[in-house]
Amino acid sequence: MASNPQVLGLLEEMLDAEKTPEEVCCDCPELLPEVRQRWQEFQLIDGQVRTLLPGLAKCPGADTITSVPAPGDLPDVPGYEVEAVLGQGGMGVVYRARQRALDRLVAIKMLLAGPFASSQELGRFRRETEALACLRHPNIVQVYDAGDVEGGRYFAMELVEGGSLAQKVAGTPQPARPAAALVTAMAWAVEVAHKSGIVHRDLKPSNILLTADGTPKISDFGLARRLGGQDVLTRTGAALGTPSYMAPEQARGQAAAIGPAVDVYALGAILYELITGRPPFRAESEAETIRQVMDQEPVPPSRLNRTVPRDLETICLKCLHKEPERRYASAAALADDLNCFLDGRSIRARPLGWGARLWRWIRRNPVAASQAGAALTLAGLTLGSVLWLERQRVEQRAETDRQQAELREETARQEGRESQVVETVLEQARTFLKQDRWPDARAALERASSPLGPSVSAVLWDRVRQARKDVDMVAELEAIRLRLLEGKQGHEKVATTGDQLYAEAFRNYGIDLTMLEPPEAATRIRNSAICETVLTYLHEWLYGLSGPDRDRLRAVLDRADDDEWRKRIRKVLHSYRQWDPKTQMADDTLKLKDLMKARESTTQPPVVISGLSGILFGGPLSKEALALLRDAQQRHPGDFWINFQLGYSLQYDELPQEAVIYSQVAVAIRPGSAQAYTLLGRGLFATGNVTRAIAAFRKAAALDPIGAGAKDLTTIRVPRDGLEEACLAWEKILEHQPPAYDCWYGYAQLCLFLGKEQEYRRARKALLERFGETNDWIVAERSSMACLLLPASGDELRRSVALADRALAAAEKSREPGNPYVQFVKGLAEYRKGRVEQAIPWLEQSASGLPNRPGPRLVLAMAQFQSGSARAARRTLAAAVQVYPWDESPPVSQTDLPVTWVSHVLRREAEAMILPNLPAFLDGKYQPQDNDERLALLGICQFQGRYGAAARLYADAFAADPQLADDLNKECLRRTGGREAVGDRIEAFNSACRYLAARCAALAGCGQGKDGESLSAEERTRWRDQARDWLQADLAAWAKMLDSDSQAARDLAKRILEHWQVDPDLAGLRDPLALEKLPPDERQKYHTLWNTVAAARNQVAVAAPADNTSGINDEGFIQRWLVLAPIPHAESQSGTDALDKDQVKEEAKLKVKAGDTVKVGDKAIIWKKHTCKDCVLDFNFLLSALTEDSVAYAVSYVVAPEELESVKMKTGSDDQAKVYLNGKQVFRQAEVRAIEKDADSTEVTLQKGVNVLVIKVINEKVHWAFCLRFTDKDDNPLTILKAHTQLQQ
Amino acid sequence: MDNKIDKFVVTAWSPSTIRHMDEAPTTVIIQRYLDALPGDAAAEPIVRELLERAVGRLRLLCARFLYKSYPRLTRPPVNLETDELLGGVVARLLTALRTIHPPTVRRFFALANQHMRWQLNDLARRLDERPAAVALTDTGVVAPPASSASGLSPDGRRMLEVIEGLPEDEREVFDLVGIQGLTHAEVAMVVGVSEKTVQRRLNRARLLLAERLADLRPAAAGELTPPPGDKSYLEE
Repeated sequence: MASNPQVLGLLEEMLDAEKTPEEVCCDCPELLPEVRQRWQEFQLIDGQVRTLLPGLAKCPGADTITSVPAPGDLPDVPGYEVEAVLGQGGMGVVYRARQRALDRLVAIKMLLAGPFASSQELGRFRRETEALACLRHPNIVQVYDAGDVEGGRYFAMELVEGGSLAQKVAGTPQPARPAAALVTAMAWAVEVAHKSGIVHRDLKPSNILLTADGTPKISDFGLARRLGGQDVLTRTGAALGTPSYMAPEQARGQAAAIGPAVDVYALGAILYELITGRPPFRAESEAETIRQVMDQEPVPPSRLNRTVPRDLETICLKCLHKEPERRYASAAALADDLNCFLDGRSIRARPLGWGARLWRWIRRNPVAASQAGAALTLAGLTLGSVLWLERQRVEQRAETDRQQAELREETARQEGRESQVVETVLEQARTFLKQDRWPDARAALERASSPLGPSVSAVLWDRVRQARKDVDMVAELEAIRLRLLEGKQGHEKVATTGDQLYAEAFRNYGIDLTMLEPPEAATRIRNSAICETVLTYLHEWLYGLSGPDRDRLRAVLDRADDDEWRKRIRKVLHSYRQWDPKTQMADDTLKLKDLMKARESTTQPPVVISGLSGILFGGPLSKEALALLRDAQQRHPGDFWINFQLGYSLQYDELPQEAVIYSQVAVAIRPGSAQAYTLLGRGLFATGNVTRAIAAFRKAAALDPIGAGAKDLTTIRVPRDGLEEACLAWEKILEHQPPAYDCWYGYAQLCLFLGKEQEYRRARKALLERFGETNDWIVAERSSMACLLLPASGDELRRSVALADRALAAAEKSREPGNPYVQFVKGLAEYRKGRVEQAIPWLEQSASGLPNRPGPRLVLAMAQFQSGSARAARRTLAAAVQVYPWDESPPVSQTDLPVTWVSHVLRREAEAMILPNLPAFLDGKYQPQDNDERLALLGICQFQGRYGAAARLYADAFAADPQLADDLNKECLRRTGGREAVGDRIEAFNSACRYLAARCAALAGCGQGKDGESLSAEERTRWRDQARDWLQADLAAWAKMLDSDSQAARDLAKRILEHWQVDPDLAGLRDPLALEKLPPDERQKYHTLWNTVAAARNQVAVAAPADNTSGINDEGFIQRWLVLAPIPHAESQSGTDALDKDQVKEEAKLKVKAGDTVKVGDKAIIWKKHTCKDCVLDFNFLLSALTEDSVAYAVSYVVAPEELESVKMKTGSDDQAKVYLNGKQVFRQAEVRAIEKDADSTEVTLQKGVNVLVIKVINEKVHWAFCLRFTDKDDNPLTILKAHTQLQQ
Repeated sequence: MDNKIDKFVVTAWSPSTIRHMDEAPTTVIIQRYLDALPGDAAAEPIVRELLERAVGRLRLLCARFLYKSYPRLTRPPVNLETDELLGGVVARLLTALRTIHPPTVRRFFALANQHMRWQLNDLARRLDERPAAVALTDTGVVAPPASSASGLSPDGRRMLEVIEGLPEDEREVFDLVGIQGLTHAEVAMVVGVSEKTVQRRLNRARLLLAERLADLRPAAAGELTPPPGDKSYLEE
């Protein structure tokens, strides 16, 4: 702010003489506006300064009255005639009054001093009302006047008498457009306030008043901060109302983070409530609501109200992002986008589709997901916190050391003993290096360079220089190793690169191992201050080397390294690494095994252990390597390498949940390591935490713009959602001209998929230049595929074709003859050259080799079309479309992404060529004539989400050929029957015709997709009925298989039915909430359908109860968990607890009806009587453990369940106990409800993401299966944890 | 296991402690200090008392910084340990004040003020360096960009920086009131000017401070507040 001395003087006068702006400006009225504004600004800032420096509180400008008005009486406000009480709240009373001077009705709000902490708070309030009085907007309740009266502070404001928005909504969803218009108006008003520096902070429907004609007016501006603000978490009760509309950063109490973004959030929350009838988060208790606000994603509005347009949902969810920076940048931006929606233009916000992606992962890994999910999530949390504690302790100790050292250093500095300063610093650096904390060492050394004078001797300076060199060397070595590890994940020649990098690093460090004689090199290594570290990395280098270099290095190491254990390891490894698989030396393996178990291994520094296990991991000693690491982790919980290596190894051992934990620790230890973030991101991605994964990759990309993390960032995105952004990010990476093919793979394909032909051509050129001469058949195959994706000509065509031939030749050389990928690219090359007849045989071969890839068939169809057989082309196209899921579901893995893009690009090309009536069909003006055409058109329908059209195509196709539905199912079974991987079978099953048809019909029937909204109610009903018919037909087929003799067939049928129960596309016909919207008789039909499914499925489940946890892992901490896993028949078979069903029912009802909360430790009457208490106990544990609040509790419980009571006393907050009790109660309710209704199953949502499912299973006896169904943020199922109890009849 | 559980029960600063520190009978101590100043062994306990008072103030301010700017760090699971955090800070203040034995009350306060500001700044800096680790436990997620995790501290640090740059007279008074929590009368006594002058210098300091910290107000820096009634920006 430009300083005007005159204004400053006037402000001083205001402060010194306690005058108003008007008074000081009486001689210079022209300065009044500036003085006023500056005064406001001054007060805002001064207020902030004062909160930090309490001594200033007594200054003028901060003093106010504190007395409380007499309650009940109408107050006497000068200039007003107070007429009546309008309402009363926690902070004051609102009266209706008449302003005498203007003869108008106003509302007067009196603020009681009571709720305010101090007079200072009141003072701040006065300043803010003054600011508010300047705020004028038709959608903001105008503040006319403010002042003090005896007993309090009042302000007079516009009287709005149409009630509040909360009263208007009252739980009913409002139509989308008026709701959007209302929020738009409010957003503009909020924007005006923000521009004036005022953030509302407490926007909620009850603060939005409505005039008689329905115009919204925002009230209580500027009140929220003082009343809500930081104190909100500690206050409960009605005064504050609900935190349902509070932004997560606000709920967390991050005072400083509270800016305009919280209002954007609140506007989104209001919009949410308007369109769904309920706020995004609302729980029984305030604490629980706050927890949800912080941790959970809101249920997408369209799930609660199917009529919510997708764009509006997207806008709404963008406002509700947990991270403020991902919300709209301003209220104006929100208003703009809402306007776009209202005008029917495309909105700027992009939806997130990660739920689908997560689901996809589970579908691919059903075993891992269902088994690992629950157990590992919990164990993960638990272990995570133990690790955290360890790390905390380490950190604290180090911090204390550091402080002491710093103090010594400071003292020395003060006393002018400069040499001693340097000595201290050197000592600190040495300690840090010993702990492998080179960043700290580096920081310490930097302090030694500050202005220290001549009294420090040259010798000392040399030592500082050497120490710096040491630190740099450690950093360099670490960087090399990380880079090599990263390279191993890609398609890069690691060994040679590693050799060069290490050689250079050591040369620069003064130990040129290629030149120096071994004895001399060994002496230098021994003399190094970082001898241990150097030795470790030399081992790393050694094992990456081959030939004479290795012998040389080993000779050096044998001289320099005295450690017996390492010497033996080197020796064994030396021969071990030379094996030939044919003459496998089991001896060496055993020797190594023994060495790894030897006691000496425990005294090795962490870097050695992590290096050794890194070398052994992936070989036959993987398991031992992992055990070694875990063991070392116990001893060195705060070591970077151990945690990184453990995370890395676990990731490759497909234990991503656990990997995430260690990666997180690694990140915490080295926040500057891009690789650690990349590792974390991959783990998170594998566990389905896509949002968090992206955040981690972003961080990695920021640290290393051309690293693997940056690359991952470009490839993990869900198609269509963030593809444009990903493409741009990718472009940026390629600007750095990375040498690895991995960095290039897929970029050209993506460009073409996005329709960026120009950019594609550029990429093609670059690919040909860079990889045109490659001898690696994979690189050749992939690049030529990319280059031939779009017709080329001239030199480019020639080179692309040559590359395809090169791939063919190289593949044959690498003993890969007849590789279908290479055949495909060869066929494509012939086709692009116009040699259609030559292309066809290649493509046919490739198609039979790649039954699940549409590409070869698509090109084949085009080739057939070109050669004149249009009919055959249509048929081939239809077949190609059938083998691939074209809908929005994201590709299953990162490497599959380019395949997806290739498939789509070729499909578009083939469709345009072979289906001349496509545009007319899409306009609804043409209906296909035969089944080939119908099936061929399904691809684009799926891709564009035209579910109605797709369902119709299916229906017509089945009508024309009734066998088709069953035939395709059979075909699918035939194709998958022989395979082992269950995931693939389900994958293939998804391309089974009737099921796909049912899914499309279900989506259309629920009004989803591009054409869903345009369907009439009758049409939708028709499609829902159709979907049900199809499902029932399929169900009958699967039920038959459940009785089959073959175990494999039974398993498959069971898994498929399990899949039905969680398929998100069927949610509209399955989820209780969605079913509520259907007519009762229809709803009943679905209940029956799903009960049948559950019964059929559980028949198998009970016959062979899933072994809940074994097989996940038998490692330490999980064993602890195992103890807690549900024990199916511990006590239920004892017979003493046989009971009368009615009695249970009565007792249960009594208990629940009385609203009695069971005390912790009160082992639940119902359960005690007819089920094993271990089950109950465990469930209770699970329920409470699932909230972050109770992680502490979980930790203690894992270790000592019997101490449950005492532990709770120590750690439990009230909220935690509440969650716990709440969980227990709801769980019981689920069962009671099932018994009461005599229903076969019932489900109760315990808290978002945790559902209790009680299923009655009749199989000789009556079983009750109690399941916990965990769902993700989009309500997609994550896993089901089962426990069985028996109820004897 | 027990020791792990104990981690969750960390004593924090209770409000009563803070209030007590705030209300220490400063005037009396200062008077005694002034009386005893001519310098002999008798002054030693008073010096200690004065030092303790300064330490108390520093603790109070540190706690305030912590609670106002980083409330999240003070709650479970982080339970940032005020005492541990302050250990080093206080030790360094003591060292500094003891080594240089200030000959007058005024010099004592000048030194104490400067050191306390430094220590506060150091505290804020160290708190800022914590977010990565903190965010990790808090949510199990990677820390978001530092800005969202680091609370108000840049403001706190900026403020200290700006105080440092105030003119000598203004800064002295501002420090005595703001940092040391003296009353205007006490300040007048220490500095040797009238209360009115104290008041004027203090006001001027506050104005200058606000002017130099102008970017701390909620609206973005440099963005002019539209004059009331100007609705041009309402149009799309």
